Amino acid sequence: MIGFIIRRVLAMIPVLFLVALITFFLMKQAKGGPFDQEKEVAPSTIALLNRKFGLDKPAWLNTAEFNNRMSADGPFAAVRGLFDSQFGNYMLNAVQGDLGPTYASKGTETVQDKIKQTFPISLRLGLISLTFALVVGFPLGILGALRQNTIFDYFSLIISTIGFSVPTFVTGLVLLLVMSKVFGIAPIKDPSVWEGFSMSYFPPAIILGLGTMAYITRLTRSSVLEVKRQDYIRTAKAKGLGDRVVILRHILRNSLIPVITILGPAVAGLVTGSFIIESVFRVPGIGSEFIGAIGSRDYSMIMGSTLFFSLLVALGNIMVDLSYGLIDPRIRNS
Amino acid sequence: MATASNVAGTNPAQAQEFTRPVRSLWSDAWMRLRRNRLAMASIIYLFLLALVAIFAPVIAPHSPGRPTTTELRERGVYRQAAWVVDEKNPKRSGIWKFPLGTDSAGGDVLSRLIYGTRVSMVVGFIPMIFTLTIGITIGLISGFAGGKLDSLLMRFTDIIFSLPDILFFIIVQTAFSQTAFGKTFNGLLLIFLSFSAVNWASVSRLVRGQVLSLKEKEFVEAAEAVGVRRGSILFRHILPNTLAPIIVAGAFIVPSAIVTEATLSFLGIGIQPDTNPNNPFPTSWGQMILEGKSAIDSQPWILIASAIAIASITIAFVALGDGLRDALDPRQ
Repeated sequence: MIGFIIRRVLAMIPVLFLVALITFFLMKQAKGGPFDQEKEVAPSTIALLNRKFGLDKPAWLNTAEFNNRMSADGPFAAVRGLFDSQFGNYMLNAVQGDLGPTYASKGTETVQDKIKQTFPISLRLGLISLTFALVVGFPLGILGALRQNTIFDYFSLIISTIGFSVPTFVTGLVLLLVMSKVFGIAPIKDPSVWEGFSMSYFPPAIILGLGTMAYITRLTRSSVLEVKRQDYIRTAKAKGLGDRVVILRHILRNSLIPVITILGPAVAGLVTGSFIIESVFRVPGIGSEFIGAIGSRDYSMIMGSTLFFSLLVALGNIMVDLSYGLIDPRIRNS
Repeated sequence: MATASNVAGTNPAQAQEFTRPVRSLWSDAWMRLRRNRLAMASIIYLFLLALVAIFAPVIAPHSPGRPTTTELRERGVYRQAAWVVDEKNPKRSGIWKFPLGTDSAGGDVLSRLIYGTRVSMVVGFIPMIFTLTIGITIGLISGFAGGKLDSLLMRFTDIIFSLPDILFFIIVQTAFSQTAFGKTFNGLLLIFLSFSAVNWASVSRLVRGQVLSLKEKEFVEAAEAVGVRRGSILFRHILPNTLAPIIVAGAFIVPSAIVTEATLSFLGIGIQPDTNPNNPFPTSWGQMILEGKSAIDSQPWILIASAIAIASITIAFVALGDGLRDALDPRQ
């Protein structure tokens, strides 16, 4: 088990490195720097800022520094000098948990501070929506499958098809529209309501969880339908077991596995879906921060939050793989 | 089920035999699909939308471009939908000349909605073709070649698979949207490419799995035994048998591409709006939603109309995908 965890954690490294590489490469292609302002800034100021953030160094490999140190300090220092580039320094710091200063704040705030401030809000939002998705989606799918082709089944099918197909920003905006036109609830402007759990989290969380809920419902329904037809269910019934035992012990447990499979992508969906929902409902979480960073071309913030999101998604997938073992003894023992 | 056609044969010996038309997997699937009312309704709806997209200039009551000054005076900015009477500002009350009202620049909302169909249709189908082509190629090579090449390709696929896709799209859009390449077809080309660059991974996993299991089947063994060349085995025997799950996967790629474009446009980094009336893709539903969001109080129909349009097209594609899956996979 421990070996498995170590292997999975090690497998994350190339993925995260590649994400960093791709993001960094793409950011270099973008026109316009972080210090481009509406009004002209003196070239000397820009040069100073670039120097301060290490943007005057080569992007990938510092060959000049390599040659310098090779002759002066020998090969070890030379290799370090080779990676004294924007990307090299960024990665070295990132490994140590330092994602660098945000450009938008001109260096007074670091990316990890920003993440620390805003992530709890997104986490609360994500947890509520995941709970909603599981608590509603799972029973809805079971009900649909156990009462196949009844009104319950059609209801669960309609809800899940809508939730599965309609993008969240559409459902979110429709909810906002209904809230303001029908119930007269104004959108929240005061940012302090997001500190700690509050009722304000429910509308965005339900919308965010809608897609995941629908997916869980669909998957549970088809999974239960398949398990229902298995021979061991017939055997269990033939033994004279009651409906309750058959459903709880034999059907549900066996139909859980495919549902757990999608929890990893579901967590990823909740994480990445959050920045659309956050911008619709004006939730000041890490997603809004990311969208803001794109507008202001704050590359360090974009890089930092992309790496952070990718780490979350990768960790989510590992947790899911671990949970298989808990549910299915066949996987645990293999 | 068996229909007795051909009974009145000339040969008395044949007249005894009941024959029926040959039923392949595909005709079976088509019969099952035809019985699925939701899927058939979706096909009809999507067919109508395709017609709307093609004949948009004929159907749209007004040009999608920026109105002239005289036109603007008649249209007004944020005119309400035709059945809404604005008491505070009678000039903005709806008239039937502009059934869904007008937007911030005096554009006719209904005409924009009609032209927006084009973007959704194109953005649904072209990336699907790209994605399937890359995914099938890599999946076939990986599954059929096996060995080192297989594990190399699968490692690569795993890495692509674990990229958070919407994040990747957003970064690609930010990076390239101001370049000449990013502006080709209002940025549509960039969306096609970035979407396909990530989404092929799930297709290639699917195809590889299929190839691996088909490779062990008796009919492949038989083909090998009679000396069929490897290329023919791959293209004549294995590929056709993987088509059913590929079609189902393809059917679900379309709505996901549509949602991606709409989401990016909603974030203001998708396709770029064009006021040139000759541009075939002047606007998209995602952009209209973005505009509608800021006009949620003054002209809610920009938002409502585009929300209904996006919701209905994605529901139709998903329902069609569900129908295809049920039809092509009778085990369900």
